[in-house]
This record gives sequence, structure tokens and C-alpha cells, in this order.
Amino acid sequence: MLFLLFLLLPFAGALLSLVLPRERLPLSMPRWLALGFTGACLLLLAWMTFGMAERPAVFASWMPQVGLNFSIWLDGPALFFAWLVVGIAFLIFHYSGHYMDPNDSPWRFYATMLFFMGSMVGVVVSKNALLMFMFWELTSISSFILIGHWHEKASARAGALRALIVTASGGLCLLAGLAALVWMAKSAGLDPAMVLEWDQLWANREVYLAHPAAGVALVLLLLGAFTKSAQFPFQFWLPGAMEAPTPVSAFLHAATMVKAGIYLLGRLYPMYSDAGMWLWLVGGTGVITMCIGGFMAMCARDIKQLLAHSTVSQLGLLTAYYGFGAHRVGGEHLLPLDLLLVLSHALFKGALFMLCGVIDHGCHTRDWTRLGGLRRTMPRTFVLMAIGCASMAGVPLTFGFVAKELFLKASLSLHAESALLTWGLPALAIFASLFTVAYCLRIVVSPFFGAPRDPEIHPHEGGIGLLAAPAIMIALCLAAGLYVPILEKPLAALTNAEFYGTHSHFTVAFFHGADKLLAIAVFLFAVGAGVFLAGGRILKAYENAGSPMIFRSAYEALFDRAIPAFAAWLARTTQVASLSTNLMRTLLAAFGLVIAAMISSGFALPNIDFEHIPLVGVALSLLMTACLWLVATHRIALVRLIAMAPIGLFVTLLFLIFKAPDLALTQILVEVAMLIVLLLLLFHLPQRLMPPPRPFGRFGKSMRLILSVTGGLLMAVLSHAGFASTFKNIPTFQGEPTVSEYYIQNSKHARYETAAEAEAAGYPAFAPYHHSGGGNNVVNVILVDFRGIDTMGEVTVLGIAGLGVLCLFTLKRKHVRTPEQKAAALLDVMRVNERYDEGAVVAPMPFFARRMWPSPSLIMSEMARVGPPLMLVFAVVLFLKGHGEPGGGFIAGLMASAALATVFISFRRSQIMPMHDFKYRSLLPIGLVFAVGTGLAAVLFGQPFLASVHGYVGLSALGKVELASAMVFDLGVFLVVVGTTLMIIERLGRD
Amino acid sequence: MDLLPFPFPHIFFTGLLLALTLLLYRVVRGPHVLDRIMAADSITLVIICLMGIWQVTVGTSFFFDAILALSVVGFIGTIALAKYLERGGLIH
Repeated sequence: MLFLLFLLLPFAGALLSLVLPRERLPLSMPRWLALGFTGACLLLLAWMTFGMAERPAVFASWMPQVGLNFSIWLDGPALFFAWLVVGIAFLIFHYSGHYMDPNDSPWRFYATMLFFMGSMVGVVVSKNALLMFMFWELTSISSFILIGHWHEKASARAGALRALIVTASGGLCLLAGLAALVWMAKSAGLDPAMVLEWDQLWANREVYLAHPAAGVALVLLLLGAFTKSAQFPFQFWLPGAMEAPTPVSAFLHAATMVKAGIYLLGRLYPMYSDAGMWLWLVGGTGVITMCIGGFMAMCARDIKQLLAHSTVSQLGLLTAYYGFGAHRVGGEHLLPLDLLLVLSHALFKGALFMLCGVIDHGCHTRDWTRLGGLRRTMPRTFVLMAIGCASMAGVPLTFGFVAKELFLKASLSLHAESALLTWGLPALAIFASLFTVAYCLRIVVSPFFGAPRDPEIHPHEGGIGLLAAPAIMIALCLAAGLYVPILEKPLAALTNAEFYGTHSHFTVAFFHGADKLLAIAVFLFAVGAGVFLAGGRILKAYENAGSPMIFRSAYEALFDRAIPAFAAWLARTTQVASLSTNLMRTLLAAFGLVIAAMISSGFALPNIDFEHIPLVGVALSLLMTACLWLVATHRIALVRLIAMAPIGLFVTLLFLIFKAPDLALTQILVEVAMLIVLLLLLFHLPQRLMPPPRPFGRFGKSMRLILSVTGGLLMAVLSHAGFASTFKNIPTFQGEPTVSEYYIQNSKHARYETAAEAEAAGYPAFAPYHHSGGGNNVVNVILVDFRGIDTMGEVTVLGIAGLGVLCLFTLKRKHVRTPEQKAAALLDVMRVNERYDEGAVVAPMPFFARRMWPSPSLIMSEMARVGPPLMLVFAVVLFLKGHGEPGGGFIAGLMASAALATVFISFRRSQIMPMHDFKYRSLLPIGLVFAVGTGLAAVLFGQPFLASVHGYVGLSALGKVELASAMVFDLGVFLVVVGTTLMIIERLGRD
Repeated sequence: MDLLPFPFPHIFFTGLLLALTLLLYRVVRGPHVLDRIMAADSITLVIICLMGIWQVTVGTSFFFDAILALSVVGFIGTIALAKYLERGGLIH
């Protein structure tokens, strides 16, 4: 339980930061919140590490068919990384309080940081690989948001997008790799439920190694790791991510998130270290990345960019270390103390980024070519920076030295089948390390020594608040270097000796005496210093070559040019700037597809009973046609709207004649809501309509006619076929008469009360369907019960559509009209009012047209006090009787909206201010919670999602009311309908 | 069926349908926008009557909700159109 709390706390903190009333709280609040939650996480973690007898683990089955379980554990690496993430998070939150501008949207910043921390902890404590993938994607998303923190800057947006595209594509590869693993396990006859647990993956590694597609799976999994950890050829996204605020860079892109790929390599190592590809794929990639990162670091002017490239290089080192783990003398596997390297890098790189932020803070530039002599003005920063860089370069007495030594030992003891790899990889690694020494000297020497180069820069030292966090990390670096034998044991205990081998060959100490390694170290420092001296020339040559970013141009060619160009081409060729043409094409394609499907499936026209078509239906349809002609042809938009009213009424009448009172009610209410919304919109449009464009030339009109008639006939045939169709194609329903019969018979009472009864009657298929809806109104029972999930989807779509309207109108700020434009529009409307249209005599209207009454009509406003409350009562009645008789949540929602819309129309804004101020959109989530909650409540009782329960409740005044759990669902529908309708009406009326 | 003896339903229906046709002519021909609006409003009334008489003739009561709903909300469209013409907008 504590473990679960530990995982959920950061998310809870993020959520809390989002829902707290931020206007009323101080700006420092979010930081204290973040520190508090992180501190609580640290305490929990300490308790779990030192206070508990055995390491906690949580397991819950989730989707056993695909191998997904919610299982988390705290094995060695998980524990180590959890400490790393939470500990550094605490320091970073302390640092960012002094670094970030307090007004710079702190709520969003800390909420996202906490969210990231939670996701990262999730990645490392997941025992299930698929669960890890979910958290993995969450870290990509939070990284995207954090890189784009200053989203006003185009470069920040581009960097964020690039990072997201690269890491998310890699994430998809990872997912594909995991799917391949499940597939292999299934084909080997393993039960998929548990195969993706890490320990099971290791235990079954022969299965995955022996499979013919083993290489494909390995490459896919490695692509996930390489994109996340910015390995060649994806290394370009990391420098771009430096647009993020410095605390983000230090936390995500130096200390933790980019380590996720390394972490994954550590998890994959026990599975794949026997694979022949492992060495050259992982080791080779790592070494190449080291070289590219090191070289690029020499070519950067910005210290932060330099650090980013150096991070790429160091991540390459870590990757190479895992690659070198396999293939040694005698085939012995050795990967000792990999966590030591990770820890060492996280400590000095996190600190260096924060110190870089201090320089930025004190000098307002990070360009080392403009800085100089900071040793005197920023002495504390200088000392810390120097120790950090010493650790990065591997100077003895620092933690980095131990790490570097381990790495060199590993690369020198490499023994592959091919001599090229045995000698080539270590040689490249040593070559890359020359750059490390050089750029470390660059960071320490160039800005801090010499004379100030730019007189406009007035550097000042950072305060204690800014320096505290990096100082702690640097102190840890030093202490760990000096007392490394103490650290060795616990770190070794965290690694899995069974798979990683013992580390007896590798004793760590801060000095070993004069041996081969010392010679290499001396060589590295001497030649590295030479490279540093030649650094100016390297930079110049690089810039003369046009500052190429290796492989970024390939990315840009694909994502910034090719794909947008393709999208633009597609849009140009399929979409034109005319709604009617686009609709016509869409409809043509849709009808064509439906007809093709009907022909290919051997669809036979159902027998239509022409004798029983009531004459009154035909008559009503003819009357409708008269109005339809007007709707299609009249020049004045308002007249078209008016002509639609009788059509709605005729349709209502048709519904009633064919015994569908629910549909009739819905039709009546939808007509009202639609008329109001269209009128609100019409004021923004020209009152007279242009003749429509002719997409198909001369035949446009007849094409439209043919299309409309075909579409209408097609829909009629399809719905007739749907009502009359039997279940003959669905084996489980064999023996049922028709679809509609089934609904009618099962909506009130189940035909078979128990599964046994259904089987006894010869309908085993009905066994799972012995639940009934408990309502007389078949339409409503279908909506809320049989097809409840459909309805849930529909109300969600309704809500989203409403929010879309809201966004469109909020974004189109420039659409707000000037008073002159408003007056002109009003005049336009008045002109429609004043004139007899189409050639008739222009005569003054005898009554209200000419007058602008000072207040709404007295009759109107008095009536509006009585009418809407009555309508609301009617809405409640419709809602309550919905399950048994015509009515229900949707209809009641429309009725309530109509009532409130009447109030909107009848009173002036100042009279009903609270009604205008109410945030109708807040009803949407509440309604959706009701709808989804009903479904989940059924799941809690062991029933399928949205299964219905019903019973009778006596309400003394109203008589007996049947209460079904579907009613709560209906309440959700009601709220969403009311929220959406009024949200749109209120927003449209605001202009 | 016995609620309305033989000639009455026929008389009522004929009369209402005649009214409907005339009103539809007004909606289609105009000539003024207000003519159309008032004709459309009257059509609502005629339809309500039609539903009522139909219900009595057939001897059912399930038209009742629709009649109630139509009489409660049927006027909203008319006042909305009127306000739009008068003020050039619905909400002020």
C-alpha cells in the first residue's frame, strides 16, 4: 500500500496543483507543494529501503491476454533509479525556486515537473514491461510540455516537437518490440499473462534468442532505448531540447529522463547479452555517439549546448558500457557496477547544468566566446564548476575518475570474435575521450580565466539559493570519489549478480598505481589538452562549413519539409474552399463505398410492403416537398430558416403516425434548439446568400439532385433492412426473429431469468443475455441499456463538439466586430425586415418593424417569468418517466435547454447576469462522470460495464417510480445535453 | 373509435388540411418575411389540432406528450425570429 502511495503521490501533487484556486494563493505555493510532495516521496522511499523487512511489490492482473499486468517492484535497479529520480527532483525543485521567474506560470511548471517525476518513477518501478511502456510515453509527453515551457518562442516549440516526434516514434518501436516478444512467447507455448514481467523475460531468454525473428525484436526494443537516450542517429533532439528552462534540462535531459534508455538497456542486458548482435549494435552505437557528441561539444559556443552535446557523448559512454558487458575472455559476462557510472554522470551533469544556469543568471549570456575572467567575479561558481568538470573528465580523486576507469577497463578487456571490434571499439572510445578532456577544459578555462572579453557583460555571483543544490551534488561527487570502496558494496548488492556476473576482477579505488590505465589516462590528458588548444580552429572550421547538425538535416527534410509538403498536396487535391463541393465529394465517396459493399456482399432488396404504406404519409411528404423547395432556392437566409419550421412539424407528425413518440418529442425540441442556434449564427453571416458554386459545371444542379435522391433512398433501404434483418449472420443469436423483435421482447423483462433456463429452452446463446433493461419504453432502454456504450460515446462526442464551437469562437478574437460593422449588419437585417422581397412593392410596415422599442415587450417579459419554470417542471417529468414512457435524459435535457434559452431571449443581459456568467461547460465533465460512473459501478459489482440494475421506489406524492441504474446514466446524458446546448447559445450570443 | 361519430373526423380533417394548405401557400409565397413567420406559427397550431383530433379518433393517448411539448416550446421559435428581426440578434 505504501508502495502504491509512493507511486501515486507525485500524480496527486500534479493534480492538486491544477485544481487549486490559483488566483487566491501565493505564487510560491506551487513550489512548496512540489517540495512537500517530493519530500514525502523521499520519506516513503527511505522507509521502504531501510525500514521494511522485505522489498514491497504490488501485483494486479490487468489485460492478461496481451501480457499487461499492473505489477511494480523495488528490485535493485528500481530502488537505485527511484532514489536518483526523487532525490534529484528534490534538489531541482529547490534550485528552480531561485532560478525561475516567480511569475512564469509556476503552477503549470511544477505540476508538469511533478507529473514527470511520477512517470519516471513509474518507468523504473514497473515490473511489467508493458506497464513501463505506458509510463515511458508519459515521460515523453511531460518532456514535450516542459521543453515548450516558453511556448511563445518558435525555437522552443520546434525543439519540443522534435523531441516528442523522435522519442514517441521510438516509443512505438518499443511497443512493437514488446508485442513481438509476446508473440514469440505465445508461439513457444507460454501463457502470455506473465511473460512480460522482467524476471520472466530473463528466465525465458532462450525462447526469445532462439526465435527466427529475435533480431527484429531486439532492434525494435533498442530503437526505443536509443531514441530516448539520444543515441546515434537520433542524438540531434537532445541539443534542441535545451530550449527548456535550465532546471528542466538539468532534471530531464541530463540526470533522469535520458537515463530511461540506459535503464532499459540494463533490463534488456540479461536477456540479450548472449545475442551476437548485442556487442556491435549497442557497443558500436554507444561509441559512435560518444565521438559525435564529443566533437559537437567542441563546436558549440553556448555553454548549455556544449553541455547538451557532452551529455550525448556521456550517454554514448553508458550505452557502450552495456554493450561491452558481453563478450570477454572465455565468454564470461561481466557488467560490474553499471549503476555507479549512471550515478556518477547524473551527479556531475545535473550540477553542471545548474551551474550553467547560474552563469546565465549572472551574465545574461551563455556564449563562452563573450565570457572571460569570471574566476574573480564568480569564485564560488568557478570552484564548483571546476570540480564538476574534473569529475566529467575523470581526474583522480573524483567520482568520475572511478567511473572512467571502470569504463576503460571494460573496453580494454573486450574480446569479440572479430578483431575489428576487439580493437576498433576501444580505440574509438579512447578517441572520443580526448574530446571529453578538451571540452571540460573549455568549460573551465574559457569563461573563467583570462580577461573579460565583452565590456557590456557585468557578471555577478549567484546567491546561496542558486548554488545550494549544485553544491550538494558536487560535494557528493567528491565524497563518492574519496570513499568509493564504501559505496561499492551497496551498489554491487543492487545489481543482479546472476546475470551481470561478479565483479571480483574489478576492484574500485581512487588510485591503482602505475599500470596500463594510468598510461592511457596520462595520454588522454596530454592529447586532450592539445585538442583544447586547437579548439578555436575546430570551431571556426565547423562554422565555415555552415554549422551542420549531424542527422538533424535528415530529420528536418522528412518532418519539416517532406511530410508538410505531402499534407499540403493532399489537402490541395482533395479539399477546395467550398463547403458544398467538399460535402459532395465526401458523400459521393461514402455512397459509393456503401453501394460497393452492398453489391459485394450480395445484398438483396428487402420486400417492401407497398400496400401498407399509409396515404397520409405520402401526403405529408408531398407537403414537405413544397417547403423543401423554398429551403433550397430562396435567396434570403432567414426565409430558408422559416421554411424549415413546417418541415420539422411534418416530420414530427410522421413519427407520431408511425408510433414513435420519443422521436417526435426529440424532433420538436431539436427544431427549437436548432432555430435558436442558427439565428444566433445568422447574424454573423450575410443575409442574402450567393448562388452556390458549381463544382460539376453545367450538370451541377442535376448532380446534386441525383446525389440527394440516391442518398435518401440508400438510407431508407438500409434502415428498412436493419429493422427487418434477422440474426442469421451472427451465430450466437440464431433462432431470433428480427433485431427489433429482440429488443421489444427483452427490454422490460428478460425472457429467461437464469442462464440455465435459457439453455433448457434451447437458446444457449441467451445465457449471457438474461439481464433485462427493466423499462417499457424500448427506445429509451435501447439508448441507455442495450446500446449504452454507443450513447456514452455519443454524449462524449456531443460535449467535444460543443467545446470545439467554444474554442473556434474564442480563438477567432479578430472576428469581434467593430461598432460600425455591427451597425451595418443590423441594417442588413433591417433591410430584410423592411422590404417585401423579390420584386414586390416596397411599402413601410405598419407596426413594429420601424420602431426600436426601448425595452423588451411587457407581455414577453411577464410570460418569461411563468413559462420557463413550467417547462423545467415538464423536463423533470419527462426525465423521470423516461424509462417506461416517452421521455428520457436526452429529451429532458433539450426541454430544459429550451426553457433556459427562452430566458436568455426574453431578458436583457443585465437582468440575468448570473445566468450568463455560469460556466455551462463545467456540466460536461460532471455529466460524463455520471455516465462513466454508472458503467464502472456495474463493474465493481462484478457485472459487465454498464450492466443495468433496477427496482421500484415509492415516491409518495408521485406514486411509484421505477428506478433503474440506467437513470443515473440518463442523468449524465441530461447534464451533457444541457451543458453543451447552453454553452453554445451563451457563447454565440455574447458577441 | 366511438368518441367521434362518423362525419365529424372527416369534417375536422378536411378543414384542418385546408387550413394547412393555405398556410403553406403563405409560407412559400410570402411576400413579407413576417407573413411567413406568422404562417409558420399558425401551422404549429394546426398541427397541434391535427394531433389532438387524430388521438381522439384513433383512441390513444400517446400523442399527448408531443402535444404538450409542442404547445410549450412551439412559440419560442416565433419569438426568436421576431426578436431577431427587430433587434438583429437574440441575446442582448
